[in-house]
Amino acid sequence: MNTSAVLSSTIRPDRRFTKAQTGYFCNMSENDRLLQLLREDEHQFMKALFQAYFALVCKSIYRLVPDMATAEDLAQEVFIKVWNRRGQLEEVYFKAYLHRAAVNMALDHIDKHKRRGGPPQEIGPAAEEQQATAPVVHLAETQTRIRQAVDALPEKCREVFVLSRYEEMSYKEIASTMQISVKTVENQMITALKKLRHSLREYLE
Amino acid sequence: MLSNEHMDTLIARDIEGTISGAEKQELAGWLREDPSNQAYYDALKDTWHLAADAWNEMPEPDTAANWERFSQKIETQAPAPLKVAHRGRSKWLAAAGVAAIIATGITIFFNRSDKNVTLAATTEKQLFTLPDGSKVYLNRHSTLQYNERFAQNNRDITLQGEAFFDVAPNEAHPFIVHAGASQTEVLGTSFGIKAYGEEPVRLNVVTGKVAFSNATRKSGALVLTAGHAATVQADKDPRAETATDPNFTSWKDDRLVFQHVPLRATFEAMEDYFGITIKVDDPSLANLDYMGTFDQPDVDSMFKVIAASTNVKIVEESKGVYSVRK
Repeated sequence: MNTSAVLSSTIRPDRRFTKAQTGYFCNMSENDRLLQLLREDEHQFMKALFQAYFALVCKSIYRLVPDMATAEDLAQEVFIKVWNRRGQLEEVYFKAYLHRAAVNMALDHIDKHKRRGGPPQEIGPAAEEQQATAPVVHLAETQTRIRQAVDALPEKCREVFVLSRYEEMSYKEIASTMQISVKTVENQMITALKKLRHSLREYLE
Repeated sequence: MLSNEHMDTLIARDIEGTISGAEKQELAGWLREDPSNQAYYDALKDTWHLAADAWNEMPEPDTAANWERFSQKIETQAPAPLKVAHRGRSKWLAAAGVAAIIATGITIFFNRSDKNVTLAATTEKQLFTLPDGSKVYLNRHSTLQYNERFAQNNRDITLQGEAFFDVAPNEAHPFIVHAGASQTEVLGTSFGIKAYGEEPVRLNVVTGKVAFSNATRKSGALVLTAGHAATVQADKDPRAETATDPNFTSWKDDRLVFQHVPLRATFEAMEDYFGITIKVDDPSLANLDYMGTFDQPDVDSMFKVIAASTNVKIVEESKGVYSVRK
C-alpha cells in the first residue's frame, strides 16, 4: 500500500510526474465515475470531485493548520492545482491523491509561515490559573485539551505525530513526504508521546 | 521511567503495527525484565489511545459556499492547462505554464478580496449588525473597518474610538478586534473597548471571556472574564485593572452611575459622556464624595442635581465649558 508515496509526487512541482499504481482500487465505482466525468465534462467532473472530497481535504489540512479560514483557503488551492492538472489526470485514485495533496499543502504552508508567538492560552496567567483549577469533566473539554497539547508540540514533532495518528500514514510515507529518514520519524513519534504523556498526565492517571 | 533508544524504536514500530515477529519477542522480553519497563510501555500506549479523541468534533467546512468561491476562481482563469505532448523535457515547460496560471489566479483573487468595509459614527452613536450577526454599538467619532471576506474567512475587525461588541458565537472563526496597541480575541460574548488616539486602550468585559494582548508584543496576554477590565499601552504588556468603571457603557445605555466616587471622577465621566469641559480649581471640591444615578441624562438637569446636593455653584463660562465653585 505504498503507492501513495508515489502519488504525492504529482502535486509537488519539484518532483517528477508519475502515474498512480494499481494498489488502491477499493472504491472503484466512485473513482471510475469521476474518471468518466473527467473525459466527458470537465466542469461536471470538478464539481463532483469538489463535493465528494472538499470536506475531507479541508479537515486534513485543519488538523495540521488549526485555523478553519486558512484551511479552507489552502483546500481551495489544492483543488485549483487539480483543476490546472486536469489534462494529466488519467489513472488517478482521487481520494488518496487529494489526501496527499492536502498534507503537502499544509506542510508547505507551515514551512512558509513559521508560527510566531503562541496561542494566548499558553502564556496568559489567567489561562494557567484556569487550567490548574478546571475540573476534568467535559468530554469536549478533554478533546480541546488534547488538541492544545498536540498543538504545543515542537513543529516537526507535531507534524510527524499528526500524520501518523490522524492521517493514518505509515512511517515510510511520512518520511518520504517530509523528506526525513524513517529513523527520525520513529524518534519523533516517541518524543511526541512522551511530551503528550506529560502534558496530559491528569487524564492518564 | 526507564528508556533506551533501541526499545523506543521497537515501541514506535509496535504502535505503527509494523513490528516484526523477532522484534516483538525482543520487546516482550524487555517488558518482562522490570515492571517499570512495562509501566513505561503502557504509558506511551495509553497516550497513543487517548490522543485518538482529539478531533472527534471539528468545525464542518461549508462545501457549497466554497464551491461558489472556487467556481468563480476557475471561471476567471481562462486559459486551459497545457497538455503534455511528450514525456520528457516538455513537462517542465508545462509545469512552468501551470505555475504561471496559478499565480495569476491567486493575484486576481487577492486583489478582489482586498476591499475593506468601513462603518463610521460621526456625531451620533450608532448600532450596526455585522455580516456574522454580531452587533456593534459604535460611539461618536469612532470607526470600524473589516475586510469584505469578514465572516467567510475571518472575523478580524479594526476599531478607532469606542465600541461595545455583542459577538455572535462561531467556533471556526475567532472574533478579533484590533484597536490601537491592543488585540482582543473573543472567547465569549460581550465587551467594550475604548481606543481614542494615543491614550491607553481600555477593555471592559460585560459577559463571557476574551483574550486581551498587545498587538505587536503578543506576550503576556490576559484572559479576562465578565466584570473585569484591563488596559494596554504601546510597548507594554496589558495590565488588569483593579476597579472596573461602572460608566464604561454609559454612552451605550444612556445611564451614568456614581457610587461614592470623588466629584472629580463624576465630572470626568460627564466630560466623556457629554463631550464638555468642566473646570474645578478648588481641590476641596474635587474630593467631595458623590453618589447618584442618572437615566437619559442631560447636562443642565444633572448640574442642578449635583449643585443642590453638594452645595456648589456651576456656571457655563462659554459654550461647553463649565466652571465649579463654592
